Amino acid sequence: MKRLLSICAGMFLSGMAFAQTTGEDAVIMQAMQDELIRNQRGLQLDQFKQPYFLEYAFGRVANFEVSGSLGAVLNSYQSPITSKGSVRLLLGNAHRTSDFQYDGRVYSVMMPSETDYDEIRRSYWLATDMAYKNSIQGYVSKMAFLQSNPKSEEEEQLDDFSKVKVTDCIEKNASIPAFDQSVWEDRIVRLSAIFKEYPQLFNSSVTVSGLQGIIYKYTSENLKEQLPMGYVNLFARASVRGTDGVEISDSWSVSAASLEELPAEAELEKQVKAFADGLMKLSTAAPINEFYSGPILFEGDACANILMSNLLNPGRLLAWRKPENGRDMMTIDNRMGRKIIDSRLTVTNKTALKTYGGKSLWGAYAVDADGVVPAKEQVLVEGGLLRSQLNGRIPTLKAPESTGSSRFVLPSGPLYSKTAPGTVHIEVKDGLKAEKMKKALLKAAKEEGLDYAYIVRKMAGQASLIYRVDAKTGEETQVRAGNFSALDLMKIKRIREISAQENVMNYLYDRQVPSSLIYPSSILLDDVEINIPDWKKSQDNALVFPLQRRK
Amino acid sequence: MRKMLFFFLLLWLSGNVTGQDVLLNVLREELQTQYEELQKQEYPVYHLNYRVIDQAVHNIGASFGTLQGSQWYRQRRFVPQVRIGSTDFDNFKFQQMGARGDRNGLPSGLLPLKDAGSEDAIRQTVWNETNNRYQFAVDVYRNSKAQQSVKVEQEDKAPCFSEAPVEKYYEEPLDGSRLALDTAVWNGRLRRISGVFKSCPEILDGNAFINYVVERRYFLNNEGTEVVQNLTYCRLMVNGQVKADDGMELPLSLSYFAYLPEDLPSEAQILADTRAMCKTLVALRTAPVVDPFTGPALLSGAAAGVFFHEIFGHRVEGQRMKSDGDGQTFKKMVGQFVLPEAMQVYDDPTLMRYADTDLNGYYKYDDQGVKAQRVDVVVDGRLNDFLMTRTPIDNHPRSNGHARAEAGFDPVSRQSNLVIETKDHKTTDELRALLLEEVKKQGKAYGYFFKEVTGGLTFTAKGGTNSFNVTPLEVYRIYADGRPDELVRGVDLIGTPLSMFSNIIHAGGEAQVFTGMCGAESGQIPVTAIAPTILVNKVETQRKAKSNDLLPLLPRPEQKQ
Repeated sequence: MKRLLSICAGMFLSGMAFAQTTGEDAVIMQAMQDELIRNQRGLQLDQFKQPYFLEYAFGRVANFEVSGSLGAVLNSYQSPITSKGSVRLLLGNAHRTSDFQYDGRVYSVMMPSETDYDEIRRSYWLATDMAYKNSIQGYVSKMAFLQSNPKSEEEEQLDDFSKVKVTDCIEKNASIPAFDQSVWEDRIVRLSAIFKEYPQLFNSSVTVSGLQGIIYKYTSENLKEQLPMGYVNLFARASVRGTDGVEISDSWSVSAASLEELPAEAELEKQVKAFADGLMKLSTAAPINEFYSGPILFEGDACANILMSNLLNPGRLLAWRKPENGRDMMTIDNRMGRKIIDSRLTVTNKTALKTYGGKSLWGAYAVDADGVVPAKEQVLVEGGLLRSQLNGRIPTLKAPESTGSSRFVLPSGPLYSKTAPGTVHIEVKDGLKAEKMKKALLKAAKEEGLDYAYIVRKMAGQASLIYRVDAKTGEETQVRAGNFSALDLMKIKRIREISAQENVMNYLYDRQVPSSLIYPSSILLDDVEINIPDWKKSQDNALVFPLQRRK
Repeated sequence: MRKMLFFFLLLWLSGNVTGQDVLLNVLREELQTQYEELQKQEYPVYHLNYRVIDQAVHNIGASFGTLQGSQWYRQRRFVPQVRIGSTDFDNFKFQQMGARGDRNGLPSGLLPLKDAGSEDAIRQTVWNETNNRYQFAVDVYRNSKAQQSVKVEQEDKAPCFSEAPVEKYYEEPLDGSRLALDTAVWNGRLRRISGVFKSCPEILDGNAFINYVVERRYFLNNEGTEVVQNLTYCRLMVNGQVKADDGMELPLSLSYFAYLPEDLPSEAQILADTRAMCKTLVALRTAPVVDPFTGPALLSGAAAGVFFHEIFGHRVEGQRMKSDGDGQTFKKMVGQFVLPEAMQVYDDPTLMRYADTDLNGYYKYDDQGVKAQRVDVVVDGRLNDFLMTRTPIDNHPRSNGHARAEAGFDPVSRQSNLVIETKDHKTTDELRALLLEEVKKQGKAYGYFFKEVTGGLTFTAKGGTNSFNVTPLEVYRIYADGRPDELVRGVDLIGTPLSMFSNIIHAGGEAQVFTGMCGAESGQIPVTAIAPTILVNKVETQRKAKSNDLLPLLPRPEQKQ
């Protein structure tokens, strides 16, 4: 097996940090390597073979959270660096492994917080033993299942685990950034105090939370990986009672790879104020009170939401293999080469693009979690036609090879990887200038004989941002959301208009993997229905909210 | 001496110096305002109380000589109780909890950690929690009324809520230096203690863990009671586990408790105990597995303590007996013999030490602001009283300060320090001789000695089996023919309460203290069970459930000592 060594730029690394010495890195890697090799060679029970594939992951992680409300700290926590590990073990061979679920399942194992060679090995020893015995049971069950449930000839040819060329990925200077708890307590006090000026808003809070860590990996293919990962989220939330008595809760958040990358406090203050103002406006907006069917312009977050929910899921542009005894799921595998979305759209997964429009992209990476170097660009949809899917090492009929898309999830829970996008770029050919999108909406409304149409800027249940637009004047009036008809793949097969302007966003794919999306800033869809909401009025509060007593 | 100093320090700090306590002042104002507002509602409140549990927790763990983790956090949790209706019939008539729980337990509000500038945030949390609990109370009250109209009258005719004296008690906050462990010192100690396990390759898991909790508890009600008290708990546990060739997992543990970390036993003592435990663990691996058995047995003080806590203590928790669904084993047995005439049982939350050990169940006021009181549950073998809250039951109209709850939960009757004593105690040698006599009398080859147990469980509801199960860890066969005592494994102690009590024939004079956390309707609370060795003429055992997993295929990786 050919191996390469790459010094990969860490996606989420930053400055000064908790001490993490090269010596500690070496001890961790050595312990993983020694125990893995001992188990790879030594584990054998009766007639069963030694492990075919063995993988150890190790994570050193520090978490923090500071939460405040109305100018006071409610919760402030900073964990010391904790460690965790995981074991993945496959029996059999590449064609038929013991993997039944095809979901990258691992066995989690507690690790010492101190970097101790003996204790790391001891922890892996017990977890690997358990993984081996469970894999034997899994393998025997799987073979019995396959005998009673034969596969088609095509499926029979398909391997269970793809062979790949692995490339090491070592970020040697990775460190875990320090969290200045008292600085953030003060900041959260100031930001949360903003809500004191909004006595109608209740249960308000502002929270900063996150984790910073380093992930290590060693496999029986002699793959070595070591890279930093981190994620920081600052969010505000509050509730308000609408004029119709319905309680509306909403939140606003901003995320970054590290604390240093969060906006400056003045900007955060502006955003929190804007959120509070927005919620106040929403509380006085009239609820949609009649059925609507017609064109709707989806902008910004709402547009991203529709595109992501239809494209970036297992079985859509991410390959998915049905578990052997699991439920089937609707996939688009059999539409390869066919039109799945509007012909003006081309979708490309990009892994080498580090910035776009001046914004750093979370979706850039050099080597995936399986040690596979991904293509810098992979076309997934070309002119609306499905061309390929992203995949890790679990082959599917339409994506039999790894595309280097197995990505570490944030180490907040078990350490594992999953198939996930890098930076997905949804490009439009012959898009409409952004400023003409609203005109196109008005035109479409008139064609339908409608007095008004809608613009949707955020889809979040009761806290959705929806504006009724007068078809004649273009005047916008904020309204409260109703229930939309299905905004599914069929709906974006023919899009009336697509904005030529692009938005860029970083997000956590499946709330776990740092990814990026570049997408048209708006889309205009025909024939979308809005039903009158049936939200119930909240029970009246028995007690006067203390901030309102001052009036 | 240290304990005495600590005790006097608290006394010295006690008094009515409440003016600087921002939290207390805001709570007092809010309580009055909310009580007035809620009295104007369609369903007026007749009782309102607030509880705050300000908890600083420090945990450090080590395994095989290496630190596993260290965690410190502080939280202030707020829980109001809202009662609507009247003392004769209120929203707690058929429902013990004042909020709807989910998989995370019952809700509670987070209060600010610092006092400065926190008034608005305190008021918001108090408003939200009380508002939610009031709405829940109204729903429950309406449903309870409907339920009452379609069901036969409950057997218990006592009201839903009783009067209690107004209490005023205030302790100044503890010195900030008391809030956390000396990390460097304890890291080192735990490394050394857990490092003992390295010397036994048979041991699969070996760890040491310290948990230090500093609590400041506030209680206020609309009747004028205001109680602010400090409590500290420090527990050190050492756990080891081996696995027998047949797959049976065999754990042993050591548990130490003191109010303050510096009052725990010396490191040398714990190291010696850990080494001894390692030897027992290694011996347990190859000890014979026992078959089900009925016959005489000795229960060590710790084992008897757990036994009494489970099968006796939970059945004298009075509030539970209000429900027709409870088994009510003892409700109508007051004045009757339930134990041998020489035996005394009492539950005493005011007890700080017993048998030279600090007690985990100590407190000054309960979670309804009622002063803690000793309750003589059994006097000279006869049942005398129950552990009561402000929820009375027939013939037990007043609280005796046993309302206890974890944050989020509403308090119910719970044990604190349950003490079992005898006026006619036997020496250890006498008890052993009496056991052998009983063995021979019953024609058995051996009896059992249950030395260590890990805990147990019991079912008290009517619909269930009303049985108990105590899980022994270290058990010996005591042979009638003079053979040496034999360590055995794989045994559970089972039975039903009344038959078990009738089988207690003698008790020793030296008490042991079992320290634990007890889980029931109102969550996890700290308790102790204190008992001497007891001789039971008939116990029943069953085989312990066990794993069928093979031993690890590879030996433990070699470790440096």
